[in-house]
Amino acid sequence: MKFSFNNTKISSIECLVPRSISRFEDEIEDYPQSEASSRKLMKAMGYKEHRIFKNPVSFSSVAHRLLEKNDALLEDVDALVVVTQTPDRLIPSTSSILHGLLGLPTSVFCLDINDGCAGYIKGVVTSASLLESGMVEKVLLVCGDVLSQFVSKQDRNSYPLIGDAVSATILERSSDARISGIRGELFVDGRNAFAITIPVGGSEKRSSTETLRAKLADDGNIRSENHLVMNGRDVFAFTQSTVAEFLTRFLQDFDCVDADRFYFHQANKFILDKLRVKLGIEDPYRLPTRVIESYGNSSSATIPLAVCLDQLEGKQKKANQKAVFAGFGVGLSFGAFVTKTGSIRNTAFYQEDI
Amino acid sequence: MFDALIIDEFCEILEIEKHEFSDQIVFQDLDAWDSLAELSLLMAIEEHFGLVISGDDLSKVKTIGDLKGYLSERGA
Repeated sequence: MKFSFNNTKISSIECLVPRSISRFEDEIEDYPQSEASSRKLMKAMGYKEHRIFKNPVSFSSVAHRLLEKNDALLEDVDALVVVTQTPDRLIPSTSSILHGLLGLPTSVFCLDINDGCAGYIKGVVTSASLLESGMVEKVLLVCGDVLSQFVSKQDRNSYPLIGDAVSATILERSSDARISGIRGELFVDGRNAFAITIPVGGSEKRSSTETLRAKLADDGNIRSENHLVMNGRDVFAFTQSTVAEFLTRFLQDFDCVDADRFYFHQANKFILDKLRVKLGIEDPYRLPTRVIESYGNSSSATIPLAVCLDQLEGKQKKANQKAVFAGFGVGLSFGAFVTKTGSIRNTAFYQEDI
Repeated sequence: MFDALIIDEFCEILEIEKHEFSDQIVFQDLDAWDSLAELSLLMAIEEHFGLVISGDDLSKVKTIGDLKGYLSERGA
């Protein structure tokens, strides 16, 4: 789907990550593979540290903690869109739960979107659609995951990369052409839907003592059917062909080869570096990898986290930058948009254990 | 089809000597064969031949001979 919103701006981004740092060094002994091979992998993939909550937490409790910090975000919000793959419960929707926790008016439109890596793109598109229909004035878009509790500590394919984080973005209508405007495309290839999945817990297969049992998988990792499983080969092939081709064409079609910043979903450093080279982006500073290196992959929160950190650390060379936001992964989905970051007037970054 | 450069690279990834490199090598039987070796092999093939092997196809390629066959079918 192609989209073009001329009267929407992103005005605020705030994020929360766990305060405690978890290090690959300390997790090595949990993996079934030899320490030598794990160290080799660590070096090749750039694994170092990530931020995960030590104890299982509900998504809404983290989102609530974040949103308690700034009342201004909630003022006059008339739509709440939650993007997560780790809802509090199957029923009711997490946006309903959060609506209750925040004490929002009953007229607020609430929506849950089950999505991850390209989830921020989808969330922004949905929010912008609501705004430009004229039905709402201000959308609160909450994106993120508390996925670490669903990943086996003995799964070296996934555990080193996982990060927990929740972000809150405010989108509003704008008539200032210099800073508004969100244009892009979103795609999905459901033929490979199970390349990234948690197989059990939904209507396809219910949980049981059997599904919860950890087993040695073909890929040499140990996990249960209730844990996240990522097919490394399929995902690698996807990023190196489908995603690389899409992004190459996107940058040409949307005239943003010269973008100041490329905020890509922080899948892993290795893939980001490969994509950067493929896209001919010589200067690594144009494509931040700070989030995956220090905070891990928190699905739909990685893009807003990257923007947030960039703004707070004063990394942008000019105030109103042309930026490409791109997400790719679970679904398998892939999409991107180009916008100006001069509209972002407020950013905040919190580190807290819950 | 495999020039000296790619053979060197494969030997490094698979942790075998050049004289051991043959069509009969079964990837799974090698000590060095793990997810990283597999990924490194996929990358080397992509960089050298410009081909991305899908997950399904890769599971059918069990030996170096199989790999050669796969690549030549695709015009490498």
